[in-house]
Amino acid sequence: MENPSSPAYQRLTGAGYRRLLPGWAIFLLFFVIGIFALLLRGRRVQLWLGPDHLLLVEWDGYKEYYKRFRFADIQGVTIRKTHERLALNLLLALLIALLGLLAWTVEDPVGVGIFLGIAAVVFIVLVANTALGSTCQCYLRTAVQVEDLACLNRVPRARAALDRLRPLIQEAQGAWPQAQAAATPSPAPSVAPAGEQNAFSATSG
Amino acid sequence: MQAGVLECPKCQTALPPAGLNTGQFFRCPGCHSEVQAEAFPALVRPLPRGAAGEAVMVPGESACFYHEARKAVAVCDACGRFLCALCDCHLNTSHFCPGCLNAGRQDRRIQELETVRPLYGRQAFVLSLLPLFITGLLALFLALRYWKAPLSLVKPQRWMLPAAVFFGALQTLAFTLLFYRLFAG
Repeated sequence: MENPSSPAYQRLTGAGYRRLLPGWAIFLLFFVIGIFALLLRGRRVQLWLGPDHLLLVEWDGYKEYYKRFRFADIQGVTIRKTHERLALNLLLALLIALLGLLAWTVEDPVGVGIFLGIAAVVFIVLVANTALGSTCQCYLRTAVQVEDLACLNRVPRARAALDRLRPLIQEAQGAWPQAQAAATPSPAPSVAPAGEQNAFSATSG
Repeated sequence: MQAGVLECPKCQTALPPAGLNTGQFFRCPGCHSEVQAEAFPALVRPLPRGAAGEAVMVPGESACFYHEARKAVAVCDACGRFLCALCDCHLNTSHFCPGCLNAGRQDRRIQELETVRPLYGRQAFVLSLLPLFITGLLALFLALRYWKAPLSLVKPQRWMLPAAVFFGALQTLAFTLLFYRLFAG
């Protein structure tokens, strides 16, 4: 059923959504339209490594959409930190405070247990959101386009992916031309600050 | 998009070369966003120029199939026609004429040009699990009609089509029995 000449692909770390709305807006909408807010997530995005190219796969459940970037054509990768983690943490902290206040005012022990239970779940989400590292937007540039890599939405993930991509791109493109070699610092493996390293950064899934 | 420089994704300001490839975040001079940028040699390499094809100088020299006056420099890997430099469409290690390239894209014979692939296995499987009678028949139709269709390029879930046939047939059988009991029995 499958084309035998299909190249073998290896999954690159990170998975995300090409969202129609920012994450915090979807979180707020969850309280208005419930689980239907998930419909606004957009297409799921993953990166896969091919023999000579990077494959960006977008998936809407029933179709796969492909974009291929040959290692020899990649001109640069840019990571920009965003404040989405902070915004989400503030919202979650506010929710925990609200639930704590409700637990304080309710006298029924069952009600108190329910509110504190929900607050504990929200707290776990807050801790996980903090542990995943800073949020970011990652872009890949070629001669003709700048592609948003929506799956690399956390700094540790983006750096882990970049560390895996760098040698492949360097192998495909060779050395810098002499004139630029002096002007541009040689590529070095990115070293994440202590606060950015976490248990999730090295996983590929 | 300026050639030869990396720009801030937010404000499109050219990033200073000193900040590139350091592995650390630095402030964009335009919007003060924290940015880490990695540049690769392709950024400063000039793009290869297209060639128009040389004229045939010696009588009897191989000429392009599409341009009789131009010298052939390659052979189409699909149809075997001689091609001049203008008609030679170079795709990774293969050479194609424009016609074969277009046909290969439309027929999905050239995998490098495929940009969308329907996941019939998943569609059939989801339909087979929806208990609406017609969905069972649709699942059976999809699964059998596209049994040999290519699977996902990265995650071929081979079990979905047989599972869709099984559940689709089961659902159709169950509804048939139900209707028989309701109307005939």
